Amino acid sequence: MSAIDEYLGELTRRLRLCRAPGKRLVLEVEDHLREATAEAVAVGVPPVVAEQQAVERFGDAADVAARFAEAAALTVAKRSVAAAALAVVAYAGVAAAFAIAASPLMRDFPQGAPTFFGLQLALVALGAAWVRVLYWRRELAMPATELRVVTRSTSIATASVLFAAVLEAALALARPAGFIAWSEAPALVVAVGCTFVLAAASAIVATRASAQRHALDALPRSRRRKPAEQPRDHGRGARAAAAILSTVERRPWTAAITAAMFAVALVAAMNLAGSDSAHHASILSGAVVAGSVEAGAIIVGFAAFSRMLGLREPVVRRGLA
Amino acid sequence: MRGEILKGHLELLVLSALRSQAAHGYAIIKTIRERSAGEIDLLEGSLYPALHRLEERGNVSSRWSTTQGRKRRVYELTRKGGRALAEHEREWDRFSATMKLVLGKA
Repeated sequence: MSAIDEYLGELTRRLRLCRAPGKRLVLEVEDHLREATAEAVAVGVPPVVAEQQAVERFGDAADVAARFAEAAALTVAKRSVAAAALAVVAYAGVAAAFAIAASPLMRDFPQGAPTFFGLQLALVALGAAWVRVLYWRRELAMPATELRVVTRSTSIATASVLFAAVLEAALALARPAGFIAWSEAPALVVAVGCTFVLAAASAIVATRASAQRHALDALPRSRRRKPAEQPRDHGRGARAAAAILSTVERRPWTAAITAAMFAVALVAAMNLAGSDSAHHASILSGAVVAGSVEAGAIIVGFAAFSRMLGLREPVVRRGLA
Repeated sequence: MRGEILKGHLELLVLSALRSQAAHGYAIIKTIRERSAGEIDLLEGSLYPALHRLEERGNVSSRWSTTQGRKRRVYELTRKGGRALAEHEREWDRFSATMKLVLGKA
């Protein structure tokens, strides 16, 4: 076996270990090495020596694979944020359409509750991931801690949407009226189908991003690029978003309690505005109960997910705010 | 010239090598080597992650071609890449002028 064939075999093996999509890279590297060899042979270098020199100039296969895997992992992480955003927006649109168009569905507790809480969690997770991707978008690689948060966040956003959708469907089917009939709102049923497809696609991309990130984590430290502590260049919007995130990281519980208090006021106001009951006392108590449930969900959700979303642990983004 | 000193400037080198014509990976390396009179000797494998990133950002586009029975990926500077190159060049000029001042070579 020639030095080039051996090198390409090793590169393929290393790329597979990193779970990087390497078919195209291997073809490009082969062309590169064969052309370098042909040039050297043309000026009188023996073919065996020319191949060996071309391989040496290219660099260690494990290093090349690791560098490429880092770049590819960031690309897939960015795509997973976009896919999750699409799924969340589609689901929110369908849920809103149900609440407006399909009379009792999604408005009669407990229906609507999984969507309400699921979308909130999905939006927070998506926000956490989006800010990080925005901040590091121009770098070749993102620090491992940040990449971990991005892949976890998009997984959580996608899972929340899927979980909420399945729970809503189960609740709807368990009711005597059953799920919305095709004849009642065909466009809405098609939209539900499309949303499930988008959510499934998002789950696939999120799984791929997680697998690549796990493979990178498994690489020896010496093989990994030392990440920049801060990106060289980032926009004003990214800086502002990252500053908000840094504030949450520094005072996580203050931020969670503030969000909960704001939610109590908002949900109570929405209940008061939407109620058509004549009994003021019952409207008020209902609004307070709804607001308290929302606040409790925020606190419990924050306790359960904030570490995974990188909102409670220091990440490599010093000196941002 | 290799390693640390070139860190952060690889993109500028690649974009400038693609300024006048589309090229494949090995041709890009050769152009950089020739223009620098052999002073810049990149570890050739570092080029492809950089090309991946530039393509992802829309600064270069690529297509397959076939030469002597081998598949070859050819890269081309996009309009966005042209703007990025101009921006990188301005930054470099500023950096270079500042360094000359600091070193007393201006």
